[in-house]
Amino acid sequence: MPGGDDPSLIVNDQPQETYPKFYKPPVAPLLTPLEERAVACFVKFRRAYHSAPLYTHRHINSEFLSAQDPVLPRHGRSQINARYGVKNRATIDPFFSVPMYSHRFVDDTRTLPKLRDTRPWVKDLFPEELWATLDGMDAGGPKGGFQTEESAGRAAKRKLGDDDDNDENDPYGDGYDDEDIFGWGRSQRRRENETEEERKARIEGAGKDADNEDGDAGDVDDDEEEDMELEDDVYDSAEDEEGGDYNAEAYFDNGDDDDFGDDDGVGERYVPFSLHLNELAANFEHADQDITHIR
Amino acid sequence: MNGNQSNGHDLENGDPDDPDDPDDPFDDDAHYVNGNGAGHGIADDSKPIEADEVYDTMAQLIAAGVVESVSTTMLQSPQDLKASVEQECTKEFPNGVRGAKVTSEFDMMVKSQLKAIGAERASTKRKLQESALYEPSNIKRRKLANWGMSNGFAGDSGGSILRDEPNTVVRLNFDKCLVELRNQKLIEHAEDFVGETTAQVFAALLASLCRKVYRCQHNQYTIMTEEEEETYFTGVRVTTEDIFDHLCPSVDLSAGIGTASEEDIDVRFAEKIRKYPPQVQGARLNGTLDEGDEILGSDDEDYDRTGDRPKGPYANGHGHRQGSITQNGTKLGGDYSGEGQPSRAEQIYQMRQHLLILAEAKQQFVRHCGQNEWTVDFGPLIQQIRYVELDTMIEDNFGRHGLRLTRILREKGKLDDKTLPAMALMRKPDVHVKMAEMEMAGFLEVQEVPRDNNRAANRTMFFWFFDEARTLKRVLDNAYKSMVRCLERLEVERYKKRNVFSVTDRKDVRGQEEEKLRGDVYNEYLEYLDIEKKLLSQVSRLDDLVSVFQDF
Repeated sequence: MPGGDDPSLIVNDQPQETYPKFYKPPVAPLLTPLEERAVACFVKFRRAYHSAPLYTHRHINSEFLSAQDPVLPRHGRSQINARYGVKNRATIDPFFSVPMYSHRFVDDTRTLPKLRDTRPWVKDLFPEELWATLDGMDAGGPKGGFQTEESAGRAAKRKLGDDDDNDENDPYGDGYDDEDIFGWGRSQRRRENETEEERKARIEGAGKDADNEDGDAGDVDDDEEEDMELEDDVYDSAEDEEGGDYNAEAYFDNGDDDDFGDDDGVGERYVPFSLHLNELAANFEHADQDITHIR
Repeated sequence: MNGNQSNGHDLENGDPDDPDDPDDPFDDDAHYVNGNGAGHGIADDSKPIEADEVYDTMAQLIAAGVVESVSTTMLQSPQDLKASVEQECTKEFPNGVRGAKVTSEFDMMVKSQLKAIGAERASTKRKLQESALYEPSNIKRRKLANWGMSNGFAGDSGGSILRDEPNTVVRLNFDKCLVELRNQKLIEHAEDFVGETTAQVFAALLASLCRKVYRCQHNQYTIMTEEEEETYFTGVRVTTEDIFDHLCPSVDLSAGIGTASEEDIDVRFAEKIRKYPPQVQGARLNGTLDEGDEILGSDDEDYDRTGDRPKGPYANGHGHRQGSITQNGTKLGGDYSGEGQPSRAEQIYQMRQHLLILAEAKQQFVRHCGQNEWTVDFGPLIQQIRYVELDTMIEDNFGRHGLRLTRILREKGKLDDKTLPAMALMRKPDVHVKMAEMEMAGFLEVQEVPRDNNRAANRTMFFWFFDEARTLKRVLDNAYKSMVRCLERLEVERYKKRNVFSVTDRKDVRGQEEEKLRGDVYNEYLEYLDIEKKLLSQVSRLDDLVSVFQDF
């Protein structure tokens, strides 16, 4: 045996005294009937809660998915926040954003809570700067949440008849109204860099504006619109350069919605996402008018 | 159910509540209080709830304090509210608040305004309580009418009051809910230590007592209503009659009490009245010396003379029962159900015996605080429950020896390294191993005191001690940590079964998984449900622990 004469090799041929210690995890006792009932109630409640209109999270946490999956990209909190609720060409998944028959059976995830028309709000219990938000009239911008006469009037008008608001027709949930994407989301992002003092000043300033419409804040709005137009231009030009070459969404626009779904109604029910976007791009000036109208 | 009612559900949390949504989590809260909560979560009952029923139940809940009506002031933090009231009051004193007299006037004003706010908050509740339905005398009548159904109540005055104010906004009153949960915990505790029947008597006592208890913990900002303030300083007490009215009539009071002959009982001791709560660390002394009250400690001679056995036919009929009831409450073979209902006086007498057991127990569940009056010292009692939980935990982790050592330390304070083994009747090396183990886990602390200038180990005294506050905090931390781990584990399980969920979350599958899913997928789904059940129950157990250590 090679190395068998090595004196440094000490073989311990004595058997161990006892079996080595092993970790024995404690086992929790079985559920009592009361606990079982409590858990069942909780699960039922949670499910109902998740399908309620104010709940915005995905049922499986997407952050968690990306942390577990080696393939999915990992994002920091700030990146997640920046991407949250943004729906544009950069964030959609081209493989699943195409309307499909099976989408009928999938719950839409809300990126923003649906405040309007869900329940009667007791406005006295909310600060005034949220009133318009509760009505779904938050147009973004410095005084977005304040209820002005104009926006209140518009709220009434919209309630009467605005088919776009009917969420059943909108596969991507609410928050996919044009103002919501292009006004609200952006102003939120703008506010992220704001300090506390600035925020206070803004809210106070907005409070004054709520009384007289043509205040100083009008300038802010104009600024914002200019910003918006600038950005729109960027999008437009980008579209011209790349979109013309290969446009995955346009592929489906040309074509046969009728393929999926056994009845003709399917294509009607689901407004194709890409078409919607293109329409938006085409009618951008229109959208701008819309936004100014709200203010 | 109209919109006004529904908007009142839970505005503060901004919880969604769509009245038309069949899955609405808030629509069915009326069910649970109706007492048919059993199995409700599992089996959908298709019976629609009547609007009247909702109103009546809400009225009942508000009167009980579990649900409260919301006013705008309640959304402010207590500090802010006090500050704003103070600001308002300052306007009344244009010369500024200076000098003792003006300051006291100012304080009075602030106090009365705060009180007015408190009264305003409770106005709906007061009205409902005053409505005939919830008066104790009616509770009694109700009980007699339909024997023991705490749920069945006749008349609709409460509901009609609410219907007149359809814009009432309501929310859950968490303070009161905590009080009720604490009661449940205490009843369980009493059941463990004394016995089932006695625990039911205790439950009745707590039920009648806690009509006047509004929250478990007070702080300086708590805004109290007038009645609450009253009871806060004098302590709450209930009479024997009151307790009896709250007692569930189906309880067999004769079970669980021994029958010693009159001569064997030292009435003076058994019926001794303790006017003041025991002096436990952290307990609040809420007895005040009124005029004519004796000084603390001199009431030894005072005892309740009202507890005599009623002289009735049943009083004599007790003899043959002797021996059929063992001391710790298990009834052996007494079948005397044919005797019919014992008289009210007899029942009250028996209930008093249960109360005396509770008062006499080592845990002192109840304090006999006056002639036919009873109270509960929640502070010391909860402290005891905390110790019980802590002891269980130490015993599970370090065995009986560890528990023995910590209990000695808790009793004696700081103990020298050398005296401890003698006191614990254990070998010194054993003690050292155990102590080191517990110190590592953070249950014990050691203090070094050098005896001279060269800091040698043999010239140093080591004192072990048990730092209660720190240990409780650590236990709380651990509980939260393990809760988070459970929830994270749940997330992992969800992730593992994500393929299953992509199917079960579909609208057409949900609710009828068994029919729609393929066998293996369904089995996987069931597996997940089982895991979820276990994890969630563990979380709820930990949650109970947290509430014992923190909220009660």
